[in-house]
Amino acid sequence: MTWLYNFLFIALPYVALTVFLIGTIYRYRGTKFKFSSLSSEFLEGKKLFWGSVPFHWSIIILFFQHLTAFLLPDAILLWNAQPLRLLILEVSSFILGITAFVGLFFLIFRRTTTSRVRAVTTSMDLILEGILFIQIFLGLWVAYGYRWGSSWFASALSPYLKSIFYLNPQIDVVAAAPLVIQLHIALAFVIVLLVPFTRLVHLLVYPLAYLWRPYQRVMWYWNKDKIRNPKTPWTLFPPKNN
Amino acid sequence: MKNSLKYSTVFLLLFLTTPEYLYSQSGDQLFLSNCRACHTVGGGKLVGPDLKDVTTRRTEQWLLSFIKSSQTLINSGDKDAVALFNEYNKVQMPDQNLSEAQIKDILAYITKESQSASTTNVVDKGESIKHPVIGKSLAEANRDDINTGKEYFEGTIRFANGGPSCISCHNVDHADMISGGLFAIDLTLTVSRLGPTGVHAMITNPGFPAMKTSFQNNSITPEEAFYLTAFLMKANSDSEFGVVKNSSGFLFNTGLMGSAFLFIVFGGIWWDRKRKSVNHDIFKRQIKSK
Repeated sequence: MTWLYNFLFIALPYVALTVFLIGTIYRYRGTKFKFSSLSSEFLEGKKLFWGSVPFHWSIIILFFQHLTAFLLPDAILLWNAQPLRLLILEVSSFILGITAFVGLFFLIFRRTTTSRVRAVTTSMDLILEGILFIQIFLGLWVAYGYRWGSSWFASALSPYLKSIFYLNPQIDVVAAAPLVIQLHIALAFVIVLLVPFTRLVHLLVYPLAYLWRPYQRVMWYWNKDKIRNPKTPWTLFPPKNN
Repeated sequence: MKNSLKYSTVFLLLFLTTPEYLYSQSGDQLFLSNCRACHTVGGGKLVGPDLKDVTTRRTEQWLLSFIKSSQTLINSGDKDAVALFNEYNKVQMPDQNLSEAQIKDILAYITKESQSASTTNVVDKGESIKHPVIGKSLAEANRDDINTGKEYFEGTIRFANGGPSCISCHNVDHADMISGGLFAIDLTLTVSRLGPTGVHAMITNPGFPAMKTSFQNNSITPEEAFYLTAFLMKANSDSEFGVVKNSSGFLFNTGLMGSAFLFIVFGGIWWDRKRKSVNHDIFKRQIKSK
C-alpha cells in the first residue's frame, strides 16, 4: 500500500499544484476572455436560482473554513476549546454542507434536464459536477461519521498539508486515516488539478470589484419597443431612443 | 514540446512515488519515534510486549509482516499473531508506513539493545507510583484531580503547551460531557485494555501517527498526563453505569433543519430576482416611457 499512499498523498498533490499553477497561467495568457464560467442565466433562471445561490454561498464559506483550519489551526483550536463553540462551528458547517449538496443536486438536475442549458454543456462540466457532488458527499460523511473534523483537521491534518508546501511531505497521519477521509483528501487534489481544464477557473477571477464599483447606467441606443412592434414601418436604420 | 512535458510529468510522478529518498533516520531514532510509546526493550510490558530478544524468538520475515500490517497477518489466521493479539486485549497495533530497510534498521537496534538490557518482568504498578510533582499516586487521585482531568480532556482548561484537547479525536462516555470525536479510538474502556501505565505512557509519548503529529511541538506535561489518566480510570470504572451519548443524531437533524431554513432565507432575500428575469426592469421602463 505504501506506493499507493505515496502516489495519492505525495505525487498527486505536487502534480496537481504544478499543473494548476502552469495551467492557469497558460490558459489566462492564451484565452483571456474565456477565463471564466460560461453563464447560462439567460437560458434558464428559475431553477438556476435554487441551485446556484445556496451552492455558491455554502461552498465559499466552507472553502474558507477549510483554508482557515489549514493556515491558522491554532485559531480553530482556540475557538473549539469551549464545547459549545465547537458545536456551533460543527453544526453550522454541517448545515452549509447539506445546503451545498442539495444546491449542487439542483444544478446537476437543471443542467441535464433543461434542453437549452444542455446545448451549452460540455463533457468537462458534467465530469466536474459529478466530482464535486462526490466530494461534498464524502465531506458530509466525514463530518458525520468522524465528527469534530474541525478540531482534528486543524491538529492532525493541517501539518500534512503544510509539509507538502515545505517540500517535506509527512504522510503518516493520512496513511493511517480512515478510507473516507483519504478519498476526500485525494479528490480535493484532483479538483485542484482540474481547475485549468474546467469552468472552475472562474474562482480565480471572482469579480470582487463589483462590491465597490459605482452602479452602471444602462442606456439602450435602439428603441426596442418600436423594433419589436410589427406595425412599425421599415426604415433603413432601426429606430433610436432619442 | 508536448512530449517532453508528458515525460517530465511521468518522471515526476515516479520520483515522488519512491519513498526511500524521504527518510534517513537511524534504527534508534526510528524505534524512539515509532515503537517506544508501546514497547520497551528489557523494560517490561507496556501497551505491547517487551521486545527484548524478539529477533531470536521470531523469524525476520514474520517480524517484517507483523510490523508492516499486524491486522493483515492476524486476519490471515497466523497462529502466533492471533495469540499475541488476544494476549494484549485485542489492542490493534497501527500499520507502520516504513520501508523494509527501515524495519530492518529497527530490528538491528533491538538486537543490539537486547544484549545489554537486563530482564525485568515489570508488572503494571502504575497506580501505586507517586507522581514526583503532584505528590500522590493515581490510586490516591481525588474528585478534584479527576475533574481537572475531565476539563483537560474536553478542552475547558487548555494544555500548557497549547496542544489540542482530547475530545477533538476521542470519545469518552460521560454524563456531563458532549460526545467526543470519532477520528480515533473510544477511550471509555481504555484503562481496562492498556492499564494505567499503558495509558499514561501513551499520553506522554504518543505512538499513533495522528496523536504524534498533534503533540509534536506541544507535548502534554507529566502533571496533565496524571490528571488525564485519573479521569480515564474513573470513566472506565463508571462505564458500568452505561452513560452513552451520541451527538451524531443531533448533528444530522440540526443539519437538515438548518439547511431547510437557509433555503427559505435565500428565497426570501432574492425573491424578486428569482421571480423576474435580470432585464425585467429595463423592459418595464421602456413600456412606461412610451
